[in-house]
Amino acid sequence: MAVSSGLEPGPASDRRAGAARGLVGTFLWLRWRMMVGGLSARRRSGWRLASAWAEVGGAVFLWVGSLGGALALSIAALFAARALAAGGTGRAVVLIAARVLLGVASAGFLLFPAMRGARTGPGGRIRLQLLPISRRSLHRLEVASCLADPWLILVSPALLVLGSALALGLFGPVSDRPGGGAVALVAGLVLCAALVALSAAASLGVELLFRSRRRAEMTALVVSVVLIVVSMVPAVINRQDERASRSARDREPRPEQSLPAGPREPSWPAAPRERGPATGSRISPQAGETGSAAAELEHLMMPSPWTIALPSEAYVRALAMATSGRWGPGWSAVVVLIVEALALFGLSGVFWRRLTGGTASSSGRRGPARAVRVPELPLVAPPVAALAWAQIKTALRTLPGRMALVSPLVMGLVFVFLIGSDWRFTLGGAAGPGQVAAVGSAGPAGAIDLAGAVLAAAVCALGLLATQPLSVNQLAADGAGLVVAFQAPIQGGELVRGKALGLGLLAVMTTVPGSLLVVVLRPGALPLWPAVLLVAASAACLVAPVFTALSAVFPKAVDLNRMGRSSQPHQLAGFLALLTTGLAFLPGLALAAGVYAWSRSPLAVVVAEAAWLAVTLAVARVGLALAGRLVDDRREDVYLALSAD
Amino acid sequence: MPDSTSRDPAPQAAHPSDGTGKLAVETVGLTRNFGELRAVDGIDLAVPAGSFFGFLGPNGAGKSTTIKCLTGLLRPSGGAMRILGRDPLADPVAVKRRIGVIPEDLALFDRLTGAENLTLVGRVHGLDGGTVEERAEELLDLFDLGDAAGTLVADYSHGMRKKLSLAAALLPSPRLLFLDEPFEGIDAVASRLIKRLLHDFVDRGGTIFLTSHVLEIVERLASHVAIIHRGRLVAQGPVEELRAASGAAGQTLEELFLGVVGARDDEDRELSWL
Repeated sequence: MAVSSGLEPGPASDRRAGAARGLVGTFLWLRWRMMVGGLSARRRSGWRLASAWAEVGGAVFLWVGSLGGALALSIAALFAARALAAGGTGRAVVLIAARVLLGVASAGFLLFPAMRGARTGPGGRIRLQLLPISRRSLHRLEVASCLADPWLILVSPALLVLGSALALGLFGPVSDRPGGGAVALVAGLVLCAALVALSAAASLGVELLFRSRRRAEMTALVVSVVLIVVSMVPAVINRQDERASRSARDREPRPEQSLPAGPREPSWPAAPRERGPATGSRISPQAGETGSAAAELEHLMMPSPWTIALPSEAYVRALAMATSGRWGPGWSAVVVLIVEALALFGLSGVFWRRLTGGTASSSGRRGPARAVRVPELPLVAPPVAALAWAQIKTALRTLPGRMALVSPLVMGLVFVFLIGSDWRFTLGGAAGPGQVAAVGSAGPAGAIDLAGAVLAAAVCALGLLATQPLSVNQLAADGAGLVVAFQAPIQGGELVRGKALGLGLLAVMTTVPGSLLVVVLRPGALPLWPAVLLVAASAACLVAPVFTALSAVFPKAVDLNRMGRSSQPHQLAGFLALLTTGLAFLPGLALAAGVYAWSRSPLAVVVAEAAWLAVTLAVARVGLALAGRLVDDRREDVYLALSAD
Repeated sequence: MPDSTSRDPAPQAAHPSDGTGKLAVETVGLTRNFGELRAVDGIDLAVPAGSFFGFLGPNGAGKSTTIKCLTGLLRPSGGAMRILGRDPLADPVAVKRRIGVIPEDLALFDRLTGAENLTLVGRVHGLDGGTVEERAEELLDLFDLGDAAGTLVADYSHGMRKKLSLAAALLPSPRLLFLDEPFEGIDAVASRLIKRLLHDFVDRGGTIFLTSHVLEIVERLASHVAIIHRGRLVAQGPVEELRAASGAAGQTLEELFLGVVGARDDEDRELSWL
């Protein structure tokens, strides 16, 4: 029997082309089968299947949206080509719009692949490495797969349409000298390649960064804190502007106060004086105005020193030069773009070689340590104390646990900075707003800075919410460690009490420092701080059984090292937990407000809240007993949810 | 208990419970379904107390599912069980207090160090702090994990995890050990140590219920074996009695296993292109 090697004789180039086609086809088939396999109903519960379908539906929606957007942008590109060919102000507007849009798109090309890299695990990569495919080919496939990026699908057709329309002269010559259209077309093609390389480099670079557990944790923590702070920047800037305008208004003399007699002057400032020399040109003759506007437009068309390295800036420069007849500098910009694309491709190759060149190093060695002791807790059974201790230890070694410690402090600072000393919210007291009554003072003689107390309560609520990735998925979040608890000689009630105690202590760590920071910065709120903590504690007692029940009903295997959905609890559980947390704060806050309005005494509020805490503790005890039974009933489901993912 | 041989013509030894010895593990018609798939199909196990019991079967036969049912991770779909004389469904805490388990997926807290994992296991078993500390240090030294005691388990190799998992199973001093593939990924030195430990454990009256694909190891260690195939128990008893029952006293456990499970008809087929 003749033996076939599978490789038919023929020209080497034909064989290579055939092999490449086969490889691409195989990978397309692999992606398809992985998606179909992910939607398979075998051994999957209903909600997990629904989640898988929702994920695919989201991706399809994104793709369809991208295709629609690409069509719209391509049509816009035709108009842009006409404006560029026509020259004048229209040309300037198109170039400025291109700078802005492509700059934003570049941020997308950097950010979204980076997030994908943060989520990617090494498993699939290792399997691919075992195939008889060279690393270089795998790298090219990896880069090529970025062509499916929705951002590229959105942008690249428009770039090609614009370049083609200019090159073909659909709307007439782009300049007096021939060749400008070709510059635009080549620049568009090279920009597409550069964006693909940028996407691959960002994705692989972040994946490399996240390969080491410790590096990943540190990076994710820093990024998360930076994101929190950055998300507050617009509000801070807005606040600053408001303050500046308010202080400016305050400085203006009121006519009836400053000018009691005599003829009134206009209350608005004279424009030339306020606007300085630049404004002077606005009242100059028409020709001067036009020249200034043209210069301003020319300035806006060209890259700034801060962004000159971006591929999109090189592209706009090439386009600007090509449409102004200076295609020599235009080709120079194209060369810069080619160099950038090659550099990004090379960088992605370096990351790829590092990723595939060896396994992740475990830099987590901490040196020898002997057996450890679990601290004894009064009135707590040793197994429950051990579980609480393990809960805290494991939580503080995860990204959500560390975030829960840091974020309330950051948020407290931001709140105080945002609100500043402007917001005064006091009840009663003969003294002016912001004056503070001593703790225990009764009657309307004093006033308390309720704004500070409300801010402290908000920080406490955020502290509780920050622990949700751990508390709402408290069983499955332990991963394989949960089996230790399930195989231990303890009842479900002891398990949930241990976890609730650990999470409660974690909540103390997340709420006390943040709220303390607020009352230190807003000392007027200090007398009510104990009451705020008691409100938070009673809310924590009320939500504890609910969170345990949610974690038993909606277990989800998570990777707490990662950012994004892979570390978050089930979405429905998260939503219900958010709702429950808000509701759990209401009785305590209402009680505090009522008692304070009636007594004007912080001490009375503290006493009332202590009593409320006692009630909620009793509720939590009963609730946890019920939740323990639920956990006993759902042990197998939780275990299967862990082992199936 | 009914004999498990009724459904199958495979060789069977006398049922262990026919004698006067106590049974450490006893199941009657143990069944476990996953949807329409019957992973464990009415098995009747009888593991004598103080025996080294090898539980064998091809991949997907139902070994791990059986262990998960016996250790309380999965609830049986049917049948009854007794572990060390108690019903694990009715009194799970009392049973768990006296057993140790190395599960298939090496149950350990990744975010605790090796020493912390042992401490947790000891404390949830109700041991006092001093005893836990003493035993944990001894076990860490024994398994050559002393230098890594303060390292997070997330940074352990597979072999280190396996050794730590065994240490955690031994720490509460159980009377019955369930070991699911304990020698997989273990180096020769550690393997030898573990074999000696397990021998000593049985010599002192403990019972071991072990699954392994390495039949040579089971043959050397086990006094009794049971073979499960497609969810059904097809052979059970002392190794020598099973050999005698099969009619070939000198055959190896592998030959016995293949004889019971049934070698494939086409195993002589060649791949002409290879």
